Amino acid sequence: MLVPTATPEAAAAQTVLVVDDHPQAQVLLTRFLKRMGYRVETAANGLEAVNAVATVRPDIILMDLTMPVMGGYEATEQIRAAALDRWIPIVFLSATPDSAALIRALERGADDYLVKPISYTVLRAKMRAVSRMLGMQRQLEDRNSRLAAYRASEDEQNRMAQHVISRLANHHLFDESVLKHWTAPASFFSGDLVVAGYTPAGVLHVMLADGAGHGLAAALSALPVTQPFYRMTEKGYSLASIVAEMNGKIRQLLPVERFVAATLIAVDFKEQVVEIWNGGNPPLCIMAGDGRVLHAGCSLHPPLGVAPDHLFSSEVDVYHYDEACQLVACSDGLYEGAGWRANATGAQDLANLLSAQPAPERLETLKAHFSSAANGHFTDDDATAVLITCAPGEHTIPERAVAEAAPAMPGDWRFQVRLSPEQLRHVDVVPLVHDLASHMLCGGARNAKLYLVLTELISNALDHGVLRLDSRMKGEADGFQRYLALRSERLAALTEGAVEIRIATVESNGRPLVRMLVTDTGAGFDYGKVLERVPEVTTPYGRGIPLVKRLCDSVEYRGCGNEVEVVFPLGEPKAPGAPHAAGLNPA
Amino acid sequence: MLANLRTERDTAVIRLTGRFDFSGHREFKHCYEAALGEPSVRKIDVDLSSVEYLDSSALGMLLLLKEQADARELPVSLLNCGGTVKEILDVANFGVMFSIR
Repeated sequence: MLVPTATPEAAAAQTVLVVDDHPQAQVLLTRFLKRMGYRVETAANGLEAVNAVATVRPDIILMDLTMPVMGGYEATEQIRAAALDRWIPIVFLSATPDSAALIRALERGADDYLVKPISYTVLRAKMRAVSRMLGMQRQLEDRNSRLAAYRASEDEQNRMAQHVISRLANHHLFDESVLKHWTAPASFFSGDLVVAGYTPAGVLHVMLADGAGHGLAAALSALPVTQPFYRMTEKGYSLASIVAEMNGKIRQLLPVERFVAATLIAVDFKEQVVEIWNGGNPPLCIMAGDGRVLHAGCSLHPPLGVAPDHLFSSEVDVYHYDEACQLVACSDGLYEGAGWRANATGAQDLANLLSAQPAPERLETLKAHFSSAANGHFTDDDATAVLITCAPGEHTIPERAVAEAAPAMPGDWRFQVRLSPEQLRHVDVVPLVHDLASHMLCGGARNAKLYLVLTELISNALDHGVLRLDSRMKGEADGFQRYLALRSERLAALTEGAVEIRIATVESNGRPLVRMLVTDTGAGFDYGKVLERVPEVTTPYGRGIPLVKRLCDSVEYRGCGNEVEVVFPLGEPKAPGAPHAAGLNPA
Repeated sequence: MLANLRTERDTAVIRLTGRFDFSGHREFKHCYEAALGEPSVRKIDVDLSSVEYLDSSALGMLLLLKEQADARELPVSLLNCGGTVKEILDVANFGVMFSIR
């Protein structure tokens, strides 16, 4: 007998099952294989072999052909049928040297064949070859199972990301008559996100965010933008304050190469003013009913998260509409799929496509065009469109946007704020003051009416008092746009002047009231005349003071008109059936 | 995508060819790390003349380069941007972050 050289690297830990009814053959083979480094188990017939497969889990089987109880062919068939998950090489040993028997063995599931009497040189070479193949096979099986586990965990993470994204989005709150949106995700899961909310003054804020990548990466990018969006919109912060906060949050939380292309839109239905901040998205197109492009809100900033504070600009693009129009914002996946360039030319292409359609049909037209243009092409980006419909005139805000005023907390409190030019330029005053007052009043629950009163008083003091702007200008052709331009010009150049706000609680006949005093350093106005004037519905100005008068118990101008004191009721409205604030449904 | 680095006096020029996307991430990183490791280098130019397209991950890679170059106070310029590449950089307003020539 030839002394086999051990090949522990191949044979290590492999178990060979020797199936032979001759004890002598079993002993010889066992000794030989053990010297080669294999572990060896034995079985005396086919049936024992079938049972041993389950108990000893052999890696290789040497199978005699003819045995009592169960022969090699049948045992092989049964083993193959039982062990589907892993491959066990089976080598037949037989005294029959004819090729018909060889073919039959291979057909029944054998992998190789050795003729007795066995040449140990050939057996050794064969065993090494089988071990090598088996090693590769085991490696492949191992990689496959690791890949399957990886795939399962990837699916699990995607499910979680999808859950997070769907929770971040508040689509169930969208009012279809104002805001419609549509997303065609590239994979089963979208990295584009559309969210919306109303400020306490009824200004609609909408964000279309396109975070790079898919799955958890996209969800993680969406988190730092949605939370400030909701929280700050609810408190009434301006778009400029919100984008600055988001930019900082993304830079703080995400790696430097991650950013979020975003279009933020604020629609003030009362003032008919649209504000746009577009960082890295295709232009937002403002279209008239007949399809004319009224304005293209192009990307004027890097995406959120790119610019450090000293390079970041929160400047918004302002447009005043005086006819019914539609705002169409898209992610770049849609422009790319439709074959449009992400600049003003593309906005014109979009308008050309939609101009023939009446406004309510436009989203469907956009969908159909995208599907046919992208037909047959592989798109690796999500495509999203947002359509906002606006028109001059009265506007109702969904009831759920206006929270029920919470009962007032008892206690005597007061505060006073004085704002000089730097603060007037950079501080989002109304939400800050409202936030402080609402915390004093009722644990921070927002009060839309209080917010509206503060907005009117403070913006009158700033615009007409400190900046000396005349609101009659808004009534002239292009006046609104010029008014806004002049406002930002004068504000930027402001070196003197101040606005002072004093707020305190008072009690009258057991009813809690809030007294607010706003003073500016301006020249005042002839309040006797202005207060008598009945505002016309058609004029775009002069509605502020009458609104304040409706919401407050009293409004008193003093001095030269640069000082106003109002008493704001908490709890019951001052007169049942009194008209509600413009555009607000009953709270 | 192909990326190669050439140093001319105090300027490291990284020249990219083809589609600039995540698949070129390793080549690009290899190039800019070599450029940043060169003590004589005072500025870095990224030549995009032979780039057909770049995606958002390419923009991310440019930001990574910029961050590391900032740490060494080396200015980064993007050169020869034309056609689609220019449009993509314009929409992303990368002119705020890089000098684009």
